[in-house]
Order: sequence, then C-alpha cells, then structure tokens
Amino acid sequence: MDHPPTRFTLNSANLVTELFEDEMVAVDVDTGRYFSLNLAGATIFGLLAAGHDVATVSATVGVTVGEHVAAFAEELVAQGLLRPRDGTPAPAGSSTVALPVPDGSGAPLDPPQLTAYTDMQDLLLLDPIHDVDAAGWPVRPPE
Amino acid sequence: MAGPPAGVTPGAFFEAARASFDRAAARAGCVERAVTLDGSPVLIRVAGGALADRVLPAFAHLDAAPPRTAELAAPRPLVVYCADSATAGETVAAPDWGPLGFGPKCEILAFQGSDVRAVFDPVHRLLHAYDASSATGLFWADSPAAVPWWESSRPLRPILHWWTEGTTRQAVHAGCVGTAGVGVLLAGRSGAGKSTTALACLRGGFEYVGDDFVLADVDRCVAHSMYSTAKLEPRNAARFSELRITEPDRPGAEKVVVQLDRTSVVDRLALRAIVLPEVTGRPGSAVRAASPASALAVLASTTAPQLAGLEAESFVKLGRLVRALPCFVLEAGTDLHQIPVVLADLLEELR
Repeated sequence: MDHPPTRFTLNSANLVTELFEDEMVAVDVDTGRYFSLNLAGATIFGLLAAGHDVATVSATVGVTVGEHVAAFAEELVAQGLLRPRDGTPAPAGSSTVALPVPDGSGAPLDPPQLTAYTDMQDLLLLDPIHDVDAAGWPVRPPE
Repeated sequence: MAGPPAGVTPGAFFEAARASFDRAAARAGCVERAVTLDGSPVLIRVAGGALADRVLPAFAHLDAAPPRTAELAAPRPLVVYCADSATAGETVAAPDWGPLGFGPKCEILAFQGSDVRAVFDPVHRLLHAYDASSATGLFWADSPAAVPWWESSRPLRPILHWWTEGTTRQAVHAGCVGTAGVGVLLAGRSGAGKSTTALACLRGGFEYVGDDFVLADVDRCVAHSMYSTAKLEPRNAARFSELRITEPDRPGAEKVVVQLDRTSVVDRLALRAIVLPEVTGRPGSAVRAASPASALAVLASTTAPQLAGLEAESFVKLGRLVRALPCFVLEAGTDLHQIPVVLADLLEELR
C-alpha cells in the first residue's frame, strides 16, 4: 500500500513570491500561473518547501492548523507548487519562498487557503506541432 | 529547439528586418511621429500611410515635447520601425536556424539570453521585435488591413514593455483617472468595470490617463498615458453615446474601441491609490479597503499574460507599487454618475 508523501520540494524552477502581513502572492514565471495564500497557507507552503516533513510542520503550526497540513500539501501538489521529494534534484532556477515570521502572539491561524488565478484568456498558446509558411513562420488557423 | 548556428545571431536577424523596413519606406514613403513618454522621446517610423493609420492614432495625444534632462533609470530614447508585407512587397524571413520554438506567449525562445526579444502571433501574423542594445523596435504585419482592432487600440505594447527593462517603469494593465493632478490606478480582470469606471469618471469631469494600459513609475507612483483609446463591451457602449467609436463593425465584437480627443487625455497623474472595481448590480457605489496582496494578485495576473518576457521583474515592480499605495475595492453601481463622486471623495481623503 502506498503511503502519502511526507516531504516535498518546489516544483517550479522560477517561482517568485511576495509576502505581505497576512497573505502571500506567488507566480510561477514559467507557467504564468498566479496564486495567493493566506497566512496559514503561506506558512505551511514555506515550511514544506524548506524540506520539513508533514509531521514537523503540523507540530509547528499548532493544533488548529496542524490538522489541515496533510490535505493542504496535497492541494499544493495538485496546483503544481510542490512535488513529492523522491530523490531527484530540485529544478535549477531562482525560486525562493519567503517564510512568514510568526508574530509571537500565539493567536490561532485560520485554516490554510490557496487561490489559483487562471485567467489565461489573453494568452495565445501555441500548439507544439504547427505548419510553417514559406517565410519560415508558424501558421495557426484562428480558433 | 535549434539555436542559432555560428555567425547567425538574433542581432543579425534584427538588422535584416530593419533593412526590410528601409526598403519598404523607400518604396511607400515614411510617416514619422515623435512623442514623449514619461519624459523620454519615442520616434515611430511607419512605412506607408495605410499602416500609419492603424498604428499612430492611439498616440495622437502624446506631445513631442523636448525631453527633460536625463534622469537616473529613465528609459533611453526609443525608435520603432513599422512596416507590412503588402506595402513592402517582401516578407521578413523567419530566423533561419531550424525550428524556432515558441513560449506560451508567442515569444521566440531562441532569442533568450540575447539583446533581442521577439514575439510572433501566428494567427494574426504580427511580429514585434526589440533590440535592447540600441533601444530599437520593429513591428511587422501582413498588411494594414490585417492589423486587428486590439492591436490598433494599444499598438506596440510588447516593444514598449521591453523598453522599460531595468528601469522603474512598468506597463500595467490598468486604467487611471483623477482630479487636480492626482489619481487612482484602476485594476481588474476583463469585465470587472475598469473601462466603464474610467469613462464614467471622464464624463464626470475627471482627468483621464487611460483605461487599459498605462506606464507606471513604481517608485515615484506616477501613471503616464500610453494610449488615447478606450475599450467598452458593446452593451456598455450605448451608455457613452457621446464618444466616438472607431471600431464598431466586427462580427461578434467583444469590445468596441473609442478614440478620445487629445484634450480629453492628460499625460500623467500622481497616484494616490489602487482601486479594484467590482460590478455589484446595485445602483449605488462605495469603496472599501483591500489588501495589497489582493491588489498585487489582480494587477500581476492580468498584466503578465499580455506582456511576454520580464515576468519576474514585472512582478517585483508591481509588488513595490502595491506596498507604496493604499488599496481599495470600488463596489461599482449601475448609477454611473455616482462612481466619480465616490472616487472624488476618496481622492479628497487621500490628498
């Protein structure tokens, strides 16, 4: 029986993050996908991306949020932000994830939340296989 | 994906395309327009009057004022060459080094790491290229008629974007309106109400910088006008019947294009806030505070898909902007007359 992964690594070689007081905004430069995470989500994401396992992260973030860590990790994987650490090297790039610094108040955090912005309507995605015209430029029929 | 063979460089491709422009200009004549964008001179040279009619009107409001004295991190003077195959009698040949490889925004991947950036739209067959070593841009279309309405309403956008690399300027998918020299940046997804809000404010006596793309100085918090056009959904166009619509007749048009008189557009406003319009369906309008993170998510996720390249730099610049300005949601009501009143009150509080 397969056990769910407990350690993860960043999935993107080029992830840029901005950390605000209680929210993180992240962009995968390679895919153009944007995400926002609340404070609990950013904390979990940062700790997992730094290599801590699920149990350690759960203990770190406190009881209220800790019970959500495993499920949130699955969501981070599903959204392509993390991948299970399987011994293969992390993608070479400049990704760093700013880790929220606890304010020391001990105040319970809200459950972790992740929002993916997938407004790609203005993207003109090229198919991998296309015809080429006489001048050498790709040709793609209008949709 | 093949890279350039020895001796064939992106720079050589760019120079060959430039030479094609020179031949086109010799054949069809050259229309020139000098403008100033955030204090930096921009010279747009177009081969043939027909293409000039598709490229230049959106810049009609920008004066060719003498540039200010050189400032730190100001973009260098930009020269853009525009031509089309029908007028030139020739086509710009694709770089001759095998499969080009394109990114998701049609950027030519083989140019990465060089001074030259380029995107090629294979549906509308538009080429935008930029050589950073000389601050020179090139735009090439199949014909003037083949230039789509959205390109004509905000022309040369990729080139202007690449031109800002390494400066404090950032082309932003946002509108900007204000009063007495100060204003708000209007950010939101397509259909959020940016254009309707901007035009309602224009009608309400506001100063207008733009509704779709503006050039923001993220450190000085100033928005500079790029285009004198506005876009509206057809169902909203009837609410602004006094405006001159220049692109009405397109089957299934998702937007109509409005050409504003140059007296209606100011070249810059000092920013006091970022405002995220949300259409409520209720009559009244109001503002409420928004987080900088939500503003960044909206600004970045709506700007980057429309601008190829420099994504990380753009994200960092927009992050600086949202940290420097208070952010609000505009609950935009159906009574358009209330919108400028609400925003005027907001600007008065922030002045």
